[in-house]
Amino acid sequence: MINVNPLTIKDAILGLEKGSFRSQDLVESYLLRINKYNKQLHAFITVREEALEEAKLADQERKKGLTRPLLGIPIGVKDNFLTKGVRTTSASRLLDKYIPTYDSTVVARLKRAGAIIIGKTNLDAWGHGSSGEHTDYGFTKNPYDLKRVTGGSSSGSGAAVAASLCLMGTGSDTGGSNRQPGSYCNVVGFKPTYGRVSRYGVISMASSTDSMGTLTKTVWDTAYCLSIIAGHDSFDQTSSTLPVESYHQALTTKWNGKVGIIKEFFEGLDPELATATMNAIRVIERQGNKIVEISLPNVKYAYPMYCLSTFSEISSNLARFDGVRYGNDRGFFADEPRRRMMIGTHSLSTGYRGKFYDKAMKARAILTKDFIQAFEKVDIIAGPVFPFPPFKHGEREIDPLKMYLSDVLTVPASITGQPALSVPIEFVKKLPNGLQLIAPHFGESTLFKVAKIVEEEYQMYKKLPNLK
Amino acid sequence: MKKQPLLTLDQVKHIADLAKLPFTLKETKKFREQLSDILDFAAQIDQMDTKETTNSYLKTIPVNNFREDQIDNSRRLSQSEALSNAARVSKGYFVVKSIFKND
Repeated sequence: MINVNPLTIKDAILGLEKGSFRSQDLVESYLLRINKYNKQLHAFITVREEALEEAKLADQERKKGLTRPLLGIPIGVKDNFLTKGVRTTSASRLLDKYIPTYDSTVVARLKRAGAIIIGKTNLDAWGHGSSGEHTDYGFTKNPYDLKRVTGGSSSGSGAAVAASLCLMGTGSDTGGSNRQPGSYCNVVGFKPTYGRVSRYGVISMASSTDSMGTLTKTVWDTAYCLSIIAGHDSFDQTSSTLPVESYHQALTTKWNGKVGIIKEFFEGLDPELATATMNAIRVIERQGNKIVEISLPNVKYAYPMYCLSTFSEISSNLARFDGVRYGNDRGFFADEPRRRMMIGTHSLSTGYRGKFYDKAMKARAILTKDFIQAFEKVDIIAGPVFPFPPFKHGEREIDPLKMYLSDVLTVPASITGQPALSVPIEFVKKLPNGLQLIAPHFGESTLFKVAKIVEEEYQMYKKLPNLK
Repeated sequence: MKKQPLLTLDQVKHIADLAKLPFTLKETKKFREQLSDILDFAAQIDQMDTKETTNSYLKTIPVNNFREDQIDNSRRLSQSEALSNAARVSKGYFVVKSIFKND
């Protein structure tokens, strides 16, 4: 057994190359931790014991002198990413027995890189939620405080990486779903530019907004994984043909630029959280970078426009679940997906579509233009992820509208399609907290460089949860 | 005094029918309140001036991304694969609920 607790992907690759341990040792150690902690945490819905055999094969491959970018590295895959032959539920009993007949592109690329899928991680069902509580498989608990939420919807991936149950978790981010668990679980939660990573084979939520990314312990790990999963995919008509950079190698060059603070993002925040956020922004400033305050008044309409455009697309995408070709019948949908489908259906229906969906799409065009113009004045935008620290289970359940307002700070970058992430900074009220960074379209390199400045200062990946 | 919900009960039932979602009467009433609140909130975008805007906001995707109309055999599902997750299968077909009523 090896102590996997402090390991990052970079550490693991080095260790495997040097021969300090084998992939078999890694997988055994992670499976042991999963068996010990998953019942408490509910980070995984499905665990693959077969990962051990795959690890042995990876070790044999390595012995022959063959190498692949993620050879023998154990990862978790969010359970809305299709995995061929491995149950995929989207955390809903509607798909309880669904076994996909093909891999999503992200999974195919990770497998081709030699990664070992140790399990399918928990989520808010269908991606609908930002707390991790809307799952049919036991809600995921925050490894830093079991009474509190992990953030969502990529709740299981966030918790699994934070608790060192795997080295990386894939995530889909439509309104903040990677950044939010990143912030609440003290890990890096990343959403690429819309179109940077293929959406093929991930259960669709909002086709114009869904973006596939990762949850990892460090910025380097995130950048490394992006180099592997990014790039044009002929199976996804909205995927970009722009070349994929070597994002982890770009981290070595220094960054200097202007940091934008959006005035509206700082209204109504928990005061300690606001202070922690500004402290982190000053870290970037101290390296010789100017802070520029910007006002984007249309940000107050971000959630309303997100709501209408996203829920409309949800209603269309979830229409395929007819209980005939796969899955159980539509009576298995829980309240949250039903709410969203109903809003969406109404917004698209005759007599209402112009007022709701079409109007929302035009509103998105305006907000996108606002952000593109903002990036003429600054090079990166920094701010909070959540308006408040991790809340207790059940605390925000009662009023659906109140629940949605947790997302007001993360939906803007989803609406515009710009890349964004959460990088861990100092805890607030003894709870994890992240700094959100937003970059221009396809500016992932900038995003990672600035995140690295913050990461080097706080080194929060060293602060491991106290699990019993 | 709380104002009338935006949606009527009949509207909610109609939407449920369009969305092919089953609802009990109790649920329909609860959803009427919740959906009305959400729509009320979302209607804030009425305040935005969108007269001069086209709705092409997606700056990142390639335009008119077509491919040749040719079968890619590497992506084909066999008949058994395609049927493998079906609730009911008969003689290689998906079985659906009866559509025609015989009077």
